[in-house]
Amino acid sequence: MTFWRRAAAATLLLATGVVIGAAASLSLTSGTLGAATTTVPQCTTAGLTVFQNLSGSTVVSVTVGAIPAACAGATLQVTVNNGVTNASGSATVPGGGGSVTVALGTAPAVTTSEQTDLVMVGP
Amino acid sequence: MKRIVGAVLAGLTTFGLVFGLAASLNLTSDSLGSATTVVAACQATAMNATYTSTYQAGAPGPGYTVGTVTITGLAATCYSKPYKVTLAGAAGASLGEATGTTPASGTSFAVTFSPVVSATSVTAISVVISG
Repeated sequence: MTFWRRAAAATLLLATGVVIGAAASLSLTSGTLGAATTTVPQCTTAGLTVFQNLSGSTVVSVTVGAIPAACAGATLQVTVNNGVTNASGSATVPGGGGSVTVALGTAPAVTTSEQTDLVMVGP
Repeated sequence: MKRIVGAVLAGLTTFGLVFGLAASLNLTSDSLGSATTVVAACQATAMNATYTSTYQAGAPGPGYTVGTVTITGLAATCYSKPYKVTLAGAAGASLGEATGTTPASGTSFAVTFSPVVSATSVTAISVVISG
């Protein structure tokens, strides 16, 4: 073997040593991970008016007023609970807001301790 | 010329070894390997959450509750992956969590909360999809 071949072999050994050093790294892959948080907006925090419409001694519908325009297009759900039974109905808030009368599916009797709940969902 | 260069190399090798021995310490090592990779979301496009509210006379009512949240805008790249949806209230406190696996087709999926969550208390929603 000539001198230059020996020198080349020594160089190759040095280079191999560097490669072996780099081989200490790990192999790593990753699955996907995505996360997000967002607020659930409310179209209004203002007070709304709620009137029960009676037929005799039963509640047949509820009129919700002072609904702001921001609630337009939302589905308004109303439930009247008289402590014995409850009745629900829903309607769509018109453009511009205003007032909405929601007819109840059944007509619960008027009592001295009724509770009216409402929720607006969407759009 | 070759003899001179050879002699120089031999000398350097020899002294290098000598110096190396003179400065060496006794050292062992635990293994150490490292790697870095990118963690990406399965889709970049936006999803949207809609709510199904139901009146419940019992707890947490009486009042309206949320039992189902529908997530729309699901991309095919997020199919068949584990998810967690959290409804949160004041100060970010969790009101309820629901877990499952995204569908293998379609662009929406329904998430059911049991027990249901008071609709009045919900102020934020979080979604995480992994896998």
